[in-house]
Amino acid sequence: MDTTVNTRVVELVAAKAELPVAELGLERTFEDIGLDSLHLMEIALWMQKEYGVVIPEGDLRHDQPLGEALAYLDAKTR
Amino acid sequence: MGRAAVLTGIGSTVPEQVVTNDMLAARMDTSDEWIRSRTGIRERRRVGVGTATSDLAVEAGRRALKSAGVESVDALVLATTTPDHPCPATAPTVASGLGLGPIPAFDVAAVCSGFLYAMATAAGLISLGTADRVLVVGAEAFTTIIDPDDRNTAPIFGDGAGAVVLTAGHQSDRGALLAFDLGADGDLADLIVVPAGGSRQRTSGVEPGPTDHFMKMQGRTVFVNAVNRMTESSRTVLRRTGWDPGSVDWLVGHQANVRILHAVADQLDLPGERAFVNVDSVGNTAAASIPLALDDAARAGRLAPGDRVVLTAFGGGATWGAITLEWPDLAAL
Repeated sequence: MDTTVNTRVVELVAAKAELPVAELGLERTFEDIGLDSLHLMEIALWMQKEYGVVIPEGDLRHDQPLGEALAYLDAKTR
Repeated sequence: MGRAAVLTGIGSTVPEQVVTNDMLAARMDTSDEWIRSRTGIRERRRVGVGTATSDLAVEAGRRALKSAGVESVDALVLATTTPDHPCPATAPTVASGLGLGPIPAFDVAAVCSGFLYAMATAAGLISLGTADRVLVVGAEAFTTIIDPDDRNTAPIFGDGAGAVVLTAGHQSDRGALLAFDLGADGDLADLIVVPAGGSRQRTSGVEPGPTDHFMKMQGRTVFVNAVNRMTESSRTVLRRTGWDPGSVDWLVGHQANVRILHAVADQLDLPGERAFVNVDSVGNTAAASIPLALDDAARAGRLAPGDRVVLTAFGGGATWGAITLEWPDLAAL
């Protein structure tokens, strides 16, 4: 994974998928790694709690490449 | 110390008919894996032919009165979304069925938050001195408003009833309801709605469609609102009680979905295992959910006297609420 992305966000996504971080893959989608629509809401709720940011519904999509989604979440944490 | 409502008895019941995930998968495009991973539900109960909400309520009420060791109360408050009839209220039928005499009896409608609203209402009757003892029942034949072919709702909801006896006492008594928080937001009325059967549809001049008597739910929006409102409401009652969130022994949330319960625990920084779960075996029983969960937890010996308990719910309306209490030493039968 891109080491410049917030590692807590990467670790959260890996934990939700029950996969090692190394197996996430930037081109894989949330769906590819086994996350459903509720997981995406759980990630949004975690971002709200940990960073005080709102992730609008629809900003995270199950067919989104992880590279794009993680970059988006990373930007939100800064 | 002021007069307080103290929990002195509890009871519950579920109908005999079990509906498994595989039974649902045989009828619609779903699977046991899909339902369990998204809701945590393995099975739910459904009322049989001829069983109405009041029948479940009477049985739960009878068990709660026995648990409290009493045969009479001064009032009965019933929380339900699925009354026996649109008119009259179901509570008087329940009071008669229990042989409680001509006591005041009325329904409270706040869908899945209904039981907490009913507890607060009963506690109000006690604190005013209008009643010394109140039977509070949450009962639902909820599957009667569920479209059996709707894969978004049919796997989630089930039927059942739970009841508690509240008795006048003091804030320092174990079992006293210590703090309340209730809220509502009518702008979210469309999140959980039965379109037909009320004055809005009846005066619309439009005949109801074939599924308009069934509940529609916007699941994703409900998920986020439920987690946020249950978390905020729990924090409010914790602050009012003077409890640190980490000191909570049991979070007994409305049993909507195991992932909502764990998300609320996570937001409160509570380990997931402190969120009591029985949604796996009964599904979401709306207003019956919290007393059913409490009775299951008590009968399983999970709730010990003195445990710090937070009750919280979110439901149609939208409505939400939370209550704190220390679990009393009572007979769970």
